[in-house]
Amino acid sequence: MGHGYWRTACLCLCICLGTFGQTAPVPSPDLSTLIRQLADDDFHVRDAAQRRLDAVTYRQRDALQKLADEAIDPEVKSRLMVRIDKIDEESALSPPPISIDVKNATLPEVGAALTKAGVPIDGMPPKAAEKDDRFTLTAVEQPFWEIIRQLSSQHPLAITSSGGRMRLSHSPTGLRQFTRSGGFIIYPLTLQRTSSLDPQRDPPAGVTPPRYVLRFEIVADPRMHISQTVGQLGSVMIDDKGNELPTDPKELPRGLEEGLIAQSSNTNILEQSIIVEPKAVAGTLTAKGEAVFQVQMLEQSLNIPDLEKLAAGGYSFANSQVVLKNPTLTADRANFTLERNAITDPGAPKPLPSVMTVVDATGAVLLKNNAQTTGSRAVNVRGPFVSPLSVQFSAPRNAKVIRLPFEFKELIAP
Amino acid sequence: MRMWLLLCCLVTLPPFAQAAEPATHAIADPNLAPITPPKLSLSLQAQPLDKVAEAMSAAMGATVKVWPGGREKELFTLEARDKTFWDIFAMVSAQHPIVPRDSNGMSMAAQGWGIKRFTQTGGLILYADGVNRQRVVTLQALPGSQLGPPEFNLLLTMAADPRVVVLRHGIPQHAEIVDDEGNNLLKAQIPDRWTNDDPSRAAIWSFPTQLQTPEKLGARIRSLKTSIRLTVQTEERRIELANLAERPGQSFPAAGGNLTVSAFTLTSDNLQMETNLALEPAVGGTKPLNLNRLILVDAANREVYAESLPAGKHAVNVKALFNLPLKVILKSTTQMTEVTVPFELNDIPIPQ
Repeated sequence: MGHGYWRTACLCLCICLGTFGQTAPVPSPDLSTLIRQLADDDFHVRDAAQRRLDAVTYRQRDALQKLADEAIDPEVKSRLMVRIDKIDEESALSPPPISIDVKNATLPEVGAALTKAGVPIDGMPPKAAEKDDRFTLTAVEQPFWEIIRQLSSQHPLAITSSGGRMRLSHSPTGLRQFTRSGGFIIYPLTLQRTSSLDPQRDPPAGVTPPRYVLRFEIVADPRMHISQTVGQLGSVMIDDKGNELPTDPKELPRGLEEGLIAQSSNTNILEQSIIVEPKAVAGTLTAKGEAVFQVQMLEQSLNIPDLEKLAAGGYSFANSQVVLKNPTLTADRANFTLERNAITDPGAPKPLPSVMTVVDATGAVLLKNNAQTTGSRAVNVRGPFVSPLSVQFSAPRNAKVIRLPFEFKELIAP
Repeated sequence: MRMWLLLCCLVTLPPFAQAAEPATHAIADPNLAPITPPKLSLSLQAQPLDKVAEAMSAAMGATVKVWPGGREKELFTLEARDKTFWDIFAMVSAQHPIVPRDSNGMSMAAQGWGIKRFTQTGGLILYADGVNRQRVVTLQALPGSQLGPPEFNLLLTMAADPRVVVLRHGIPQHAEIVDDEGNNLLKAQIPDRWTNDDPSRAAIWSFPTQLQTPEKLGARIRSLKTSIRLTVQTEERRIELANLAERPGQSFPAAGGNLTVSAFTLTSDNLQMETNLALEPAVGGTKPLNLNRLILVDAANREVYAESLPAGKHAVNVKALFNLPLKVILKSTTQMTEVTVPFELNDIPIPQ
């Protein structure tokens, strides 16, 4: 039997993912000149300036934001804000490269270095029977997943998730082969052949025919906010005789294509499987399909600076009316009622899932959880804390459905 | 003397003289007498499963329950003479499929596809519950080490007649497992040892068994010969207390020591009490076993609690509606014996 290694091919996104793979520095336009030219009386100058503005990357995003905040000309301000949104959208799908420099570092130290570089991830200490492997890596302006590939080639690593936070842990096999597409990687885990029967039933009723089960994972960069992991579409497996072994057809949830957010996801890891019944014994298999995600592109927020000074009539936020009622504060406890009401206009969009955070005057986060989309509930905050308390809400401003085609070739059929 | 009604009796189990049916059957191997209850005779016309269970329980002098499976309308007709519990179970299952289920004692569960193929030794049966084969390729492993070995697993299940109280069991020791091609499927065996004590005095046990996959594997397992070591109860003492509420702090004899029941609150929907089982230093060399079982029965004759009692202090909490007074039954194993039970299964199909 051949022991060829699996190969993946053909990973592309159906939408433009902007800065994918962009690692080489791009010359930075002179932003102050650019601003002047954007307000020039000559259309051609303005048009040329706009094209240069479109080339501004995430590296100058904060400077662009500062200029937008200071801009007086409404048209200039608008053009800058459009570009900032575009950069944010591109970063949402393809987070920028990072740099780390670790020497003889433990995995928790590697996790800390990655977190310091802007990627929130924990490195897990070795379990009792595992070696305390050390990592050495100097990486400058490289995609996060390329850094993981290099670390895993030193000592095998696995990506897991716990409580919404991603983890790097020691693994017997590690992440040796994956294909990266923007902020996503995709890799096959196992291909299993199973057959079973129930000896208490008369054949053929109790016989489960042989099946191939391919398990694979799609993982999003920890900086990406996955609103919803949808699953896979149109998956098929093809044996080496060209027989197509279809799986159950799957459909997108209704409304997803329109960018509605059905629920908040707390994981950037999507494990999927494809199960097929082979027509004949195969040597190798090919699997292909599309993995589907909904990614939060931009965020909207609401800040209520003082729980004891509430606006009459509530606040408009994330397709809903937010009302805080009956706040009572003592030295170590605060209680209030959070009410969210859907907008009653015909055709109004549904309220979006939101996160509520209660913060005291020192910036200490006292409470952070999901706000209900509609209805009323009591909120209890325990101190000690320093008044005033602010209540902050965040929700996706828009989201995109990402269809990620995949193809795994030359999988050894067991 | 307070109003505790103390009933104490000793029941010597072999040769199951308390059973409804006289012991007319012959036991081929006298060593298996402790696990071989008398045969039963039953006659029922178009009765639901709970009535079948009631009739079987009455005939045995031991309880078999019904696990609801949403098929309450099914009716059963039985005409059985001198049949084992498992023969009757199979007759019931042939009419509408039922499977044995452990629910704090043996239950007949109206679910699944029934059991048709089993082997009996005394009051115990052994059957193949599932056979599966698999092979895994680990696609992130290094080239050359991706393909794992073939796996071939057989799930064996043993179940006990409700009159056979199994206190603990060993690991099945297989003498022979061969397929119809003559291949030896036996892998290196797990050495025999007593498993942990069975605090619930289970009625069903599962034994996952790994087999070898020869190059030319047959279509069926022609023969599987195995044996399982058991410790079974042969004598039981039963103590009844008519009303738990009347005197907390009561001490009475339990197997291997003394049991004290104290500090309880009791309403019609909430019982909280503490048991303290003080064991003597050695209990016939079987200290790990739970030899005492506490059962609480309400005025409507419903069991509201039935658990083995651990040594030392133990909290008992029951939150359910029950009719007072609660009767306490303490069953204590006063004698036990060890039996090695042989089984032979034939003609088990192998998935391809």
